[in-house]
Amino acid sequence: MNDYLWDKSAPADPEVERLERLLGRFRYRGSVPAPRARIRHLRPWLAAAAGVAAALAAVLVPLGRGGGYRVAGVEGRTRVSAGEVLEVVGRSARLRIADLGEVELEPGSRLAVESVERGHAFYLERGRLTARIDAAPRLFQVGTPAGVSIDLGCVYTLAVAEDGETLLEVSTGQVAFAFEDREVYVPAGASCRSVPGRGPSPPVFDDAQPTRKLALDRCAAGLPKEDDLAHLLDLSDRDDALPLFALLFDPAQPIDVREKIYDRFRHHFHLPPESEIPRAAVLGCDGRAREAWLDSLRSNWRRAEVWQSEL
Amino acid sequence: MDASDVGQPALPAASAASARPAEAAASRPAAAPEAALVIRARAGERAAFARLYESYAPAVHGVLLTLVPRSDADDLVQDVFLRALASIGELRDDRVGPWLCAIARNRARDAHRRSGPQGQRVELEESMEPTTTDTNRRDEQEQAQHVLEVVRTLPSAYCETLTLRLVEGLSGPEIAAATGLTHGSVRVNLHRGMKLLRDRLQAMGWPGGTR
Repeated sequence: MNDYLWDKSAPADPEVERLERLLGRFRYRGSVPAPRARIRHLRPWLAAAAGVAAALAAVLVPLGRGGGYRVAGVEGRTRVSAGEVLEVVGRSARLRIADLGEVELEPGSRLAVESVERGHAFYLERGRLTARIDAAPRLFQVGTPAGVSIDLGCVYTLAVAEDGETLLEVSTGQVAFAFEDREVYVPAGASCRSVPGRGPSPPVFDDAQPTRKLALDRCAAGLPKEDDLAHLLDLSDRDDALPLFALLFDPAQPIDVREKIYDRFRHHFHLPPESEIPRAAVLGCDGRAREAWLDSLRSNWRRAEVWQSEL
Repeated sequence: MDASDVGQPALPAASAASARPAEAAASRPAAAPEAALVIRARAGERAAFARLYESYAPAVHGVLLTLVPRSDADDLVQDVFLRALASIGELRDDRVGPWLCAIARNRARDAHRRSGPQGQRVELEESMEPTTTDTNRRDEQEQAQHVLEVVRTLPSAYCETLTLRLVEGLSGPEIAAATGLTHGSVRVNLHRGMKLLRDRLQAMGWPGGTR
């Protein structure tokens, strides 16, 4: 046995040495460019998923490879790394996100790669992207001027206008959209708008009745007409529970509005008992309370079967 | 061992270990420090998991490199460790290396399936090395790619062992620890794989294919 081949304890075998020199260029190397910390709004919402994701993200800091992503459709570029910006001109471009999926960028988009180590973090300054991601929840995130979209396993489109207003439309699965200390949950078939400095509006299903959408917009803006809230709270359309849930867990909403939603939900849906999830925890926007309520509500809402099937 | 014998690859870990338990045990690294790391990693200590990563990332990369395109291997290393972290509670016997290598093989196969005709794979250049005007460097790059392709044509056990040795620079004992193979099996795979590689390179007229 050639001991050099085994453990290099013998004089070098010239042929093995040559092969080592040639093939060594493909060796695993892990240089890590320091990522910019632009995405900050990662407050856990689904506690279990968030726990895992946070652990993963933290572990990935020392694990970083820094290899970036493959890209097609951008002249002169085949790869983009953390800290770099992609300007998409003339035709659409595609990024391959490891083996988790891909992102399609429309012409006119400007996308920065924030990090390839802390999960997969991007910043869409303007333009429109479609993400198709099959990954652990919260590993793929896209910051915008109006908040951060957090993938929970899905296909979605994110469009950022010149003024930073952002529209999130979810085709399959589900996405969380975070702004400061608040998150809204957007399932398949729903969308939400977010404005810089103000954050996301309650999500609403795309086929919701226009009159209910208007009532919701007025409630969310704190300018409800008489009967707007009562109109929504009758829950004759089960889809209304989705935006009402967002209002319930929005601390910026008046407490009397949130109390009414709380009471209506308690009456209408089968929810965890107050002995487990106290009223004060829900009205205090406690993360665990929100998760527990969401778990219960998902099975009641009309689209539940769609959401589940897409996960 | 007959140096001219290019037969079947050595047995994989489980079979070899059951056939020669004493050797299998001897070929593993000192269990106690790694076991302690695993316990700490299971308890959520990120630094412990990071140390496991540092120890085994090259082996995981080498295993991936035998099964997927080079640029995919780079991308998939993190993914393997993400999956490992998510399921570290399932690791029972503290044989981290073989466990990670098994995840890597499965992950590579998944990636291969997904990138099939039905997949939505982005068509991108295979080589991501920077362009250089240095002819010698370019020639070497092409030679290296060629040799790697030939290594990939070897039976999988030879291919994996030789990749870990020649690409990742692991020693025989380190390969044994990472893959769970016995020292004897690794020796066999290295020896027979090298013989076969040499023959194939020589048959292709590669200048380094003959001594």
